[in-house]
Amino acid sequence: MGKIEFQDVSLDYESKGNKKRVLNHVNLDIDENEFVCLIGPSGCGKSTLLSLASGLNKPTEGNVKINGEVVKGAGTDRGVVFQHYSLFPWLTAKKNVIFGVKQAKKEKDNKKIIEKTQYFLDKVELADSGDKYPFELSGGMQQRVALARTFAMDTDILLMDEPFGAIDPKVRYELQELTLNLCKNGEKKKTAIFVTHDIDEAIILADRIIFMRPGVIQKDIKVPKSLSGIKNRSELFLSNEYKKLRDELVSLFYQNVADNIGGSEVVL
Amino acid sequence: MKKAAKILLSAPTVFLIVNLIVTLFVKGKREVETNTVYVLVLVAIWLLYALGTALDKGEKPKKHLGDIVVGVYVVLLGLEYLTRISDSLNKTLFPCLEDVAQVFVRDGTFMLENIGSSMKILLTGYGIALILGNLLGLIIGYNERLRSGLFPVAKVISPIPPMVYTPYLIALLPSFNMASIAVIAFGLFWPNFMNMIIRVESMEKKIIDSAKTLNAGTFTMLFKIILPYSMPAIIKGIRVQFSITFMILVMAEMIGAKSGLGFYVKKFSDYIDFTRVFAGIILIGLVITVVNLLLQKLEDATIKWRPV
Repeated sequence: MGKIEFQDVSLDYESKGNKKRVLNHVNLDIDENEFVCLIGPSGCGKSTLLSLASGLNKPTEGNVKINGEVVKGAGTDRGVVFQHYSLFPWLTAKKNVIFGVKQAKKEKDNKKIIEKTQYFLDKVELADSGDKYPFELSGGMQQRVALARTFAMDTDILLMDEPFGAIDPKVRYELQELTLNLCKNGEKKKTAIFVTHDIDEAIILADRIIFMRPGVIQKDIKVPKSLSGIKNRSELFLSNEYKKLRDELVSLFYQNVADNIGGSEVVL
Repeated sequence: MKKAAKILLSAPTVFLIVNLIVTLFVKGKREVETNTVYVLVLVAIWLLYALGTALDKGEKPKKHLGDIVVGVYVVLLGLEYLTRISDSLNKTLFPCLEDVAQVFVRDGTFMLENIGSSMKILLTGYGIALILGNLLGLIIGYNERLRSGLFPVAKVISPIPPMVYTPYLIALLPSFNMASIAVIAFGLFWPNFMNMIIRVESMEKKIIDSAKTLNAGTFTMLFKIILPYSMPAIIKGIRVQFSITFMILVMAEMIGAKSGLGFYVKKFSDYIDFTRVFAGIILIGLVITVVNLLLQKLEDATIKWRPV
């Protein structure tokens, strides 16, 4: 039994009487402590699949189960980070984290809540920015606070929807390292689903990459263990295994484009 | 030091001196009782300007303050010439500024009583509308079934001017004050109510989603997410609504009240005492200005965040 299970899940969106099938009989099992990246062209339903796990959406058919129980709505056993608006703009960074910790209801003592908040703000290197409002923080710093909140809530599942999509490459690298550190080297390992459209990001973060094409899972790829051992990025980018995996994902993307235009002789 | 020199050599200072010389030393066709208060007013305006400039810590100097003060001095100088010095305006309708200034001392307590009376009606009526409108708007806006049922009804009732209920209210309520409070509360309930519903409806969905993933219950959602998010818009709305409400109230007071700022102006215009009418008009302007300044301060103090 997986930690997160999608059992024959379908989802229809209805707008103005038109039904559109966004997910079509998707089956996916995610094991405990696994870091899974969902990747695929825009509109393939990867974010929708994530929203089913977070409980913000309900499947039209099939079941989504967490720890064997059907998901009925959002809950504090799952931490969610979005690309935008994860934080509440009227609360300072510190108060945003405190809000999350209080909602998680694992910690009752006020002093402990504040200690925990400070500990995780330290971890994301924002110890001095606790009293700043989100608009005073850069996009990267805002996502750091969002990560701090999620980790301070002590959830064992982490759901991230293109969290670093709007952030410049250098800061994105830092945030990826931070995410890996918090997920894999923390006291508790996390089970994570991470939606992205960045191939490198997927390979660096994931134990397993799910490639989606509109509505369905096209390919389920295990990332070789040997790759996660390489810390240095330039070394990683040069390794043959990395190149092979990257080529495979790129060709999947291109194949998809070719299918969509309907021709086989597409020069890209 | 540089700042002090700048203030002393500025245009407002020059205009103050010109005004003072004209008021104190130029003999006019009309006689006035005393000009002490008027001179004090002229100096007080300059002091406000000097204080405002000295305390201004902004990077860009606020030039508009000086411009406004110069404008006021020019208008005063013009009126001074047209009334006291050349006597070219109607004596009854356009009293001397010295006499008008004197009214503020002679009628001081009476004026304060009338401000108090107006404010009591205004704050009670508007307070009820503000709290009730936003609270109900929040709850009804969040519940889709209530919203779909009540919003169309509200759309029909809200444009009816509250004045049309006046006969009922006067018949049912024991005093003019109560009727005024009821009219204001009823009239301003609707815009607050409808605006809040629209704000809830059009709220950034991603913030709602974010709150949902944090397991926010209905109470938390309403009072810790939607209300704080709407707060800037509510407070900005207060400033606009307050001015309109004040206007309506003063008009109402001119019709049937026995106290209040509108009553003050109306009473003395009936006695053809235009010195007092003039003072009353200035007083109304002053009250609105002070209230607006206070509301601005409230906004600055409560809203420290900006949307991302």
